[in-house]
Amino acid sequence: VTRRTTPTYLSALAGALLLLAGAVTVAAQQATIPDTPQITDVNPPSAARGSSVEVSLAGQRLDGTRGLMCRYSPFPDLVAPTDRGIKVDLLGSTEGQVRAKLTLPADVPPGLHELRAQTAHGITSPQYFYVSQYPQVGEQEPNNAPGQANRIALPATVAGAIEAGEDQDTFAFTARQGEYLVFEVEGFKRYAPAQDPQNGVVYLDSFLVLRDASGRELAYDDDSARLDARLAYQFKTDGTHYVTIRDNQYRGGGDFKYRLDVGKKPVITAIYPPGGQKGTRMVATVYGYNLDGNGAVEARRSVELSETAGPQEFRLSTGEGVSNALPVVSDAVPDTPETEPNNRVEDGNQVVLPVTCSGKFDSFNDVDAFRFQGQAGQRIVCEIAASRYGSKVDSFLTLRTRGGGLVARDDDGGGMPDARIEATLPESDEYCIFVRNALKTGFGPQYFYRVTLRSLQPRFGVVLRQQGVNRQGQPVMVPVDSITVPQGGSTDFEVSLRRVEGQGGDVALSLNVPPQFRGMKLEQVIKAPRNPAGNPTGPDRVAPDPAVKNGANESTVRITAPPELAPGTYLTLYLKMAGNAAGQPYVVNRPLWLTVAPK
Amino acid sequence: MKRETRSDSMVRAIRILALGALAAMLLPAPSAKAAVVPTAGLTRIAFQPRAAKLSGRGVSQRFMIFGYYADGRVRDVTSLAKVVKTGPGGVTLRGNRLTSTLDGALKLTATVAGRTAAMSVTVQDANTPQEWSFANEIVPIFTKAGCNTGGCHGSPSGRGSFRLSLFGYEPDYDYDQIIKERNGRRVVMTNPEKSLILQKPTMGVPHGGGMRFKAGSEFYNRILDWLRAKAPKQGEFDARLAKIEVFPKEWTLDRPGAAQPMLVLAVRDDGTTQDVTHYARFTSNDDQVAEVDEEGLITAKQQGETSVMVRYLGGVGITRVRIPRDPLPAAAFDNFKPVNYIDELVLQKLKEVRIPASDPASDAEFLRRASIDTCGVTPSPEEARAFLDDRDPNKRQKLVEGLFARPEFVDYWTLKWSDLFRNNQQTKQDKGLQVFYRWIRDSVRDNKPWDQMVREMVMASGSGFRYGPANWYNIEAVGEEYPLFMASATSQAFLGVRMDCARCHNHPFEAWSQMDYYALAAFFARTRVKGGPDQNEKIFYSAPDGEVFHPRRDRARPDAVVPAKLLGGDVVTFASEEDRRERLAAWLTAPENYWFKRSIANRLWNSFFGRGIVNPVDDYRLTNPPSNDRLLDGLADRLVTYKFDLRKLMRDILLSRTYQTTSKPNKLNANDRLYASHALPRRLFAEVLLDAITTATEVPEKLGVYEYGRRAISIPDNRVPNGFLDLFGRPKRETACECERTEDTNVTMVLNLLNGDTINGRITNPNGRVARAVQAKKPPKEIVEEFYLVTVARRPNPQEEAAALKLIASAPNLQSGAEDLMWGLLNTREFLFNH
Repeated sequence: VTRRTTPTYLSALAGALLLLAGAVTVAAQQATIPDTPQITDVNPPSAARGSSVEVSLAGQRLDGTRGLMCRYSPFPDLVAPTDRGIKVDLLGSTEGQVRAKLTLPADVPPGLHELRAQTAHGITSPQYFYVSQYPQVGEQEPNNAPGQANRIALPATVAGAIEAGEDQDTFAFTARQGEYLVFEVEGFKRYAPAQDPQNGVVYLDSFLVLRDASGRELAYDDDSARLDARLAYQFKTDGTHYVTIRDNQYRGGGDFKYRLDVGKKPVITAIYPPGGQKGTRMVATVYGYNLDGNGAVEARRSVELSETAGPQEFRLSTGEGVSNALPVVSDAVPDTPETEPNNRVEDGNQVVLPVTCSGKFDSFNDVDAFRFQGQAGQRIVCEIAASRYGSKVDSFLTLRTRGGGLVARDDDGGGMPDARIEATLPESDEYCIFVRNALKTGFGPQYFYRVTLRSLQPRFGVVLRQQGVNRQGQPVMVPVDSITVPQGGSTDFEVSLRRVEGQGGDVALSLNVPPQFRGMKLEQVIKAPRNPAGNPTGPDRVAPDPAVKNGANESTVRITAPPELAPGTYLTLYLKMAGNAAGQPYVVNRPLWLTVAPK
Repeated sequence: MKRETRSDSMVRAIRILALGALAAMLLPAPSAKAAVVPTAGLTRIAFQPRAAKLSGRGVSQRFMIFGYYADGRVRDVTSLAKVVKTGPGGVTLRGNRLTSTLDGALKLTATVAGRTAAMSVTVQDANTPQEWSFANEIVPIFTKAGCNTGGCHGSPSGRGSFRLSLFGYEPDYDYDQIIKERNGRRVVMTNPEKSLILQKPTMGVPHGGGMRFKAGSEFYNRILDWLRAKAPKQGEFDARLAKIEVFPKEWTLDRPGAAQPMLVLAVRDDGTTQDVTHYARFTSNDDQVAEVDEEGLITAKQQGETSVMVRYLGGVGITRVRIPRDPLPAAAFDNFKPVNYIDELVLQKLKEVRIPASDPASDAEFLRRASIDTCGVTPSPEEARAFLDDRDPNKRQKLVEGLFARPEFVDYWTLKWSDLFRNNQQTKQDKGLQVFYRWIRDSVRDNKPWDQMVREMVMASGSGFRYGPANWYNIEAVGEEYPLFMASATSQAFLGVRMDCARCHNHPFEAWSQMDYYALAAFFARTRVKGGPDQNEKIFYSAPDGEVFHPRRDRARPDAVVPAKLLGGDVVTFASEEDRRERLAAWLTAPENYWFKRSIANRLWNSFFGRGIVNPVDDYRLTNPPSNDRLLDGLADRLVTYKFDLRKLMRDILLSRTYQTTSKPNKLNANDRLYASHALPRRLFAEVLLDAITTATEVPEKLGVYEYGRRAISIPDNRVPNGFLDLFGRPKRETACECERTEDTNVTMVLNLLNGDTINGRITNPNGRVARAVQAKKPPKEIVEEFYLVTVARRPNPQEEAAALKLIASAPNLQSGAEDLMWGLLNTREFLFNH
């Protein structure tokens, strides 16, 4: 099970579904649609912001590329990527390669930016390009041991690779006593598939070791930023020090690229509270390293919460650089922070549904209790949003009656490892929901959660899919956010609904397109019956009024482009899905990129 | 580079052996002489047991009378005693045997040489006809006759389609097997003599197990009477036997040939007692010292100490037996001047067993032994030279402190704990292995108290890829096996108690029942695993539900769930969703826990002395007593005082006179392996030996993906392919058993050292110590000293130096001569052993 599934967070009371184009990108790399354009490599894979760089994208069916799409989100699973101002000058394209010059504005956010090619045959799935905030320096092999270290001037971003299993890269630098430096690795995890059944994890699992001039180990880190290592260290002596990067398991290979930032940039590890009511101003405590460029681990900041419910990007800047991003959540409902002590029923915080409460665990055994009034037969949802926002909590929820009777409990039902309970209340009385950290692995602001208590909200999410193959060559349905239609021709794709909290009924499908593209047509595909060998007994038929019928979750539809749309036409259209939820109309408009290809 | 052939090395071996050993060690010489036993000085006498409660008519029981002497000795004076009875209760008294006749209380008074003692006896239910008890009267016959041993009908598959529970731990099952199985053909109620259950053991019909008892014998008659009474069975038998008591508990036999009977009493849960000596099984732990017959008569064979194990139904007990050595003059212990509590306790024991300690170890012995035991390293020539030449009287203390500060100290103890905690790649995956290794390493480096380390592991939740101690829970077993395996591993690793036997049946050598084991496993019944975000990642956590079930009860029965119970403690009840392991961890690591502190104290002792006070170190049981109880208690209590700071106890050990004793035995202690009278030579274990060869030759080994030059003791992965390490007994880390690491020696190892590339490849390596010494044109005398220092941490004595110089001079050239010398030194026992 991977955490990189389609996000389950649905903004609480919004009528429309938050839709994330980026969500399909990783899955798309594990399986592909044959003969579609693809990028497999970006070279060089990084550059410093404020500079320009010529990049070469390798792949297939890249001829006739009209442009590159550069978009960015620090957490594409939560927030759809957007254009951040990187300027692209196309230099040329062939079947297997695109060359372009990227101009990186000085204020572009550092991090992994996605690159897609708009080719004559459609839009590729993304590859990633790292924008660093420090000037980049290369590594020079051999540099395994301190005696062979490459000397670097700070601040710097080291561009290197762990080329083979026994490779280690060591860099020498000068630090001053009392100086506080941050060492942070970007291991291009998003570059490679999250999992590989044959080979296991096939990207760098970086490990950093910091040593003094005599070679004595001062500090190390393995996984502070998921599989990426991150160290913050205050130096006790002046002079030369060494930082070594290697794979945790001593592996290596061509894909084991890394970028290692060494400098005084701030790092944020947590924000508390992690969110508040939308459209308000929230004063939060930011936790991390070097928050003032001089080792501060805590800072107070005022955060403007967006008018749109959902997570937004938060960073902190100092004169020494800009921090990593963490999500801060805007809520449609009032956000009530927990008040300690609330470990026991009798101390439970009184709340009224619907509500979202922010909380954190203050000790290994901390339990947070919330009391609310419920009605007999009331269907309620109690859900945790923690891990998905970067919290270290593996939440566990227990719903009890006033007398302590167990109503329901859950560990991971909200999408591993966030907990979620859906329950019918047995009587009209007071109830208590207990939130705890199932693993008791730690406490403090990094162990935060948001718990929402509300009634059921029937609704659905959607994934568009086309027939493709997995890495073993077996046919699978592949999530897509871009569709290619030949001029005057048509393409089939599948609409796959995820109905939640009791949503049912027919969902009518139609196209919502700009007026000049009215000739586009969407029809229902009625698959021909299969013979015992599994082959179709005749051609598929089409019918008007496409829909996902009540009781079903999938429907195959056919989109047809009129002949007057010339090859090379790109447009963003919307697939309109009209159903109902709890007796009210429920409509979702799902964006979809469409490319008209030559016949 | 010169290529060594097999015949070359054989020639080399013959040449060197012909010149005599370059470094020889004294071999132990056995000694034995009978002691004289004093006979006067009786100060008081006492009955054993002091009270008896007989239930039923005709129930008989014996007693013993022990005499206590002014010199501290205890003797059996039963045969000298005049015994009279007073009081209303009725018993007949024949010799030392009472037989019940009439309800009531009475008192026995014994007199020996003017000393008196009393015993109270209660008789109850003497008028009630005695009821048969299958469990108490028939099952013990099968045990005594050897029918239900693991090699016979007690094996899991039985024998000849007839299966009994092992040693009769499950009478219900046995009853059904005899009476009901095979349509009851094993018994013939209408003609009991024809029953197979009598025909087979008496060879009335062919029996693969041979004659077990004769027709007409007491066992035969008892079974026959029972069958004639229609083979009755009583209800819940398991609870009947509370314990057994064995008399005497400790015994000194004056000389070889002397004998002493034993008395075994079954104490039932209603307080009644029964003499079951006749039905008990006796086993001597060392037949060379004392043997025991079927009736419990112990006969001394030679001077020494051992114990006799007694088993009856589910109960076990022991008697410790000593045949004292010849008295020694007080001056025999003058060479042993205690410097700390360890020495006091060791000396006290040595005096008791009349074994004098060897002389203090030389500086060289101490340097090498302390370096190996503390850091797993052999000293470099520079270190050896500096230490040997240091005139500071406190240089040994300085050395010890220096060893604690070395990075190899962290490497070495991380390796040891990695073995114990089963940190292997197969179950933990590469990532888990590294993460667990780092946690162990950090814990050792930071000198984390042992109880804290254990608590962190036992209470660990989280991903094995992110949180080191969670890997303690990463084992191969799954499902219902999981809690059982975790219980075995936890008790063996941290309590030194092996519970595995109790998995299938009551522990045959310990009081633990199968239910004790399952009840301990119940603490892990809710420990679960789920996947994490990475490939093969496992997250361990405590679930709100899950139980351990009785292995043979219907799950629907209310008593099918085995409640969690601490070893030797009470049933524990938990709050809803409470992590059961927290209570376990608290109990496990508490200073009051009898086993926990002893187990780790014993492990440390074993590390520094090559033999546990309880040996094997992870087999602490009633029937495997410590060789020096007071010492083990003293070390354990000190560890509690030190708040489980292991380094403090290590320091006490290292600085003790006991540790600083030479391995050269004297005439009287050569056979001693139990009392630390001299250091026990031990073969260097695999990683240390490889590193020692590397240090000597300065040609490192490339181990897997790890950096060239990295010591074998610092490699996290015990499965890095390496034939040498496998051959020399690197453990697989599959179990928590110390026995996985072997320190024995076999022919393949010897051949590897003599002819293999491990040594030959290194001594001929052009970049190695040998080649560089020659290239530097060092004089042969200097080479000899350097090679001696780097292999055996001392300078050669004049004879050795002369022999070595002669060896070099007789070689075709200096290179060849230096190679021969190094080869020879690396193949000496003095190099290969820690002594």
